[in-house]
Amino acid sequence: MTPSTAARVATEVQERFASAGVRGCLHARGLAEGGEEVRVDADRPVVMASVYKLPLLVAFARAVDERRLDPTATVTLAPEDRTPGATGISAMVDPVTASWRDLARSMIAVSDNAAGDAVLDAVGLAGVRETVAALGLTSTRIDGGTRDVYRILTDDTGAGDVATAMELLRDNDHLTHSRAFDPLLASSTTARDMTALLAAVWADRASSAEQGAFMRSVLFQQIWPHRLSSGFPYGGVRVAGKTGTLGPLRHEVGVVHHRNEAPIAVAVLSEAARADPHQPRVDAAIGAVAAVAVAALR
Amino acid sequence: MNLLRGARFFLTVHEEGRFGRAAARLGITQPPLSQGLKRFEESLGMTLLRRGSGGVSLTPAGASLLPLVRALLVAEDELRSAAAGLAAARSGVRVGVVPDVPVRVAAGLAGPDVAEPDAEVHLHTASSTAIVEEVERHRLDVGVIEHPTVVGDLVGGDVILYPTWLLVSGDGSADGPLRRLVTRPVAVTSRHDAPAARDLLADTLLQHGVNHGTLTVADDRAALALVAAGRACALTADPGAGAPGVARVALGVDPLPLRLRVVHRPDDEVAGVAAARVERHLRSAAPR
Repeated sequence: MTPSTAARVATEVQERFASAGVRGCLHARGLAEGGEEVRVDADRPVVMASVYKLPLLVAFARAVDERRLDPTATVTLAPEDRTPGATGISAMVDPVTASWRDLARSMIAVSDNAAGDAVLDAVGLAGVRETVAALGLTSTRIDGGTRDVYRILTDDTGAGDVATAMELLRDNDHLTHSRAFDPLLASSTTARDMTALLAAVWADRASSAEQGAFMRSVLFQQIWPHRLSSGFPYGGVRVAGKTGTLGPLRHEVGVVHHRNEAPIAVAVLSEAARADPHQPRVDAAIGAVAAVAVAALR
Repeated sequence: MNLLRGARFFLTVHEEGRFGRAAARLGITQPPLSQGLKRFEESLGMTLLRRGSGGVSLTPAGASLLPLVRALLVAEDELRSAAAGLAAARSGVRVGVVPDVPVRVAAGLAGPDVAEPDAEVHLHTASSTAIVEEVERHRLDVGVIEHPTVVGDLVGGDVILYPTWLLVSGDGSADGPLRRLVTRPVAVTSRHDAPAARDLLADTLLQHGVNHGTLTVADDRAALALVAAGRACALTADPGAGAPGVARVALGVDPLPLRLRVVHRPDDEVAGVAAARVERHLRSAAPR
């Protein structure tokens, strides 16, 4: 890529972020040997939201490699102990029994908060931090699970419960401040660190080949079509990824595979100006900027 | 060598196509231009311009580097203009205000509520997008912008709500829910002025069953003219805005208020103090 091409691509990404009403970061890199990169504000720390489940997945895989966890052992999650959420086991009302690896799958495939916090309890916060440090992700800090974020949000807003706190975050007429949105106080990362993590997963540098294959398969199982995937509306391409959504935060980090081509890792981390819970323009912009970056790297 | 000077020479010669014309534009003679350009090329280790009898043209390397040279010179212009702005502003506070703020309220920002005996307030009217950019670049100290707008690293207080009126053509007998009141497209200024705020307006209209869309106009005068002509509706936060044949329907602050925020740079204490005064003025001056 010539310097002028890189500048043009970065400008187009910035314009699309501005037009969508978000402050955004992007980093994309080809995963083949000597792969090039596209970067827009790629080193600015951003609160991770559910993107934190990606390093958690890697920590889980390493725990399995080290035989600290049996992925096929089962665990029962009781409704009263589970972190609430809109999807997966979080949304259910009865006790659920599943294997550890299927909990890990659910936390990635549908961003299941209950499964995520159960996996975090099994792996341990220290295990996730060791993973982040071992992979050289120096701009990433993990401060806890979804349950901790919800507790901080509830405390800071004086809302009494998570649902009320979430309601406050959706108000365009008032700003809601919380430590949960401060990159210095909450779990945070950079777009560059997330593509580095994905590169390690894709090259089996983060785990054994067996666990690498497991992680890639569950990342391909993610169901959401509205963000990264929306940038690639044609056949012959597969997108693996993990989203993150909390208040105004809209993220997805993933890998785009065009058939017979080297895969490309893309991380888009953004914060919307609007507070509305559903922002399809922002979701589509995440796909659009990813498409611009990937097109430049193919 | 002086890189910026060389970059300026390169761009000017490219734009003018001939050394003679470029030298004239730069206010120098041809030999120093020619030598300066050569040194610039040497310092980059490549030939950027092909010299021919018909004038000069870009080499592939020159074409490739041209956007970066432009960016470099834009940055230089910005640096100079920011420095000049800083020098000019030592005695006052530069406040950017969106045109949606009622005239009386905006004028009040320059009055004793906000200004100090030794610190004048200089008001500038611009779009939210432009104001954020100017505050970031130190060309303005305080911004009064529409919310929601992406503010980057700027900081500011909570949202300030101003009631609005719907301007419709007719005698003002219209009543009922929003979808009965709005029977024409709503005239708005360019989406680029504040993309998130414009999208929120459009989505709120849809939420309330108003399906006539929006119509882009240059400013509030053009909007009022379209309303008078019976071709559009408009929203205003100005209690004085109106025209013959145009009715005003009070909407209050729900669901289409004018949402304002006062922003400044986080490290600028002087601007922070001024921003607090601006915010207090805006809150106390809000029409009831």
